[in-house]
Amino acid sequence: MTLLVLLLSLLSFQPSLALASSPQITDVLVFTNPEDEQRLIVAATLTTLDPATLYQFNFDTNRDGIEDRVVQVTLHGDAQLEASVSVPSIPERTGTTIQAVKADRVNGAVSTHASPIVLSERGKSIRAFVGLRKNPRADGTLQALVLDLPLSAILAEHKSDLDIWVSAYQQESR
Amino acid sequence: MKYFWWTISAFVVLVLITLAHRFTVDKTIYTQLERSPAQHIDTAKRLELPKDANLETVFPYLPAPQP
Repeated sequence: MTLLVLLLSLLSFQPSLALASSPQITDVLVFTNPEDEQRLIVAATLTTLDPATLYQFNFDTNRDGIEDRVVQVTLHGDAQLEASVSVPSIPERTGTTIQAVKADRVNGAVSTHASPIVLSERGKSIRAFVGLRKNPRADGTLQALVLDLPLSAILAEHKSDLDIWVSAYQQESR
Repeated sequence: MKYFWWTISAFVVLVLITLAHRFTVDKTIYTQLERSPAQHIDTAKRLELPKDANLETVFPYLPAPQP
């Protein structure tokens, strides 16, 4: 009987999430592209870029606090990190637990001097930059995730209000 | 009876497509570690650049913002 209880408790055991490495989003900046008012720039600065983390730009277009469009950034590689950036897409899951979106992705190098990663959505160009930059508000450096995208990729024509935030996710332990 | 084997074949193909989709789609669940505060913007209005930010250093492919 004791053996049975032990076996059942082992079967029902859920491993806890590894929350040790927090990516520490330090800042999110949002403004229109100085060259084109129809394009939006969203930049997130982080203390570190973690290949085990999925970063997500969230766009809420109806002010209900739930993301309506997302752009996901993942990192892979060891010696030379590479970023994979998705085009803006409607998420299947929202909130604190999500899945990778089924959307086109483009890979590009992560580097201080890397060229922006260029994606295309409905024929319009989206640029992304992932890499180390000088801290825009103080001395030192920070990792940056930057998106430069047309408003039409995230907003319907008659809408102008947007709530934007950046979140970081870790793969759930199995 | 004329279309029996066509119907069976179509059903088998449908089952195979469903199974292939089930096993190829990434169903990994990600749990949130951190979330920044939300920034609200009205894109119909001209957005001000952050005054204390030297954006040229963050966005290497953009020109320096005009004062």
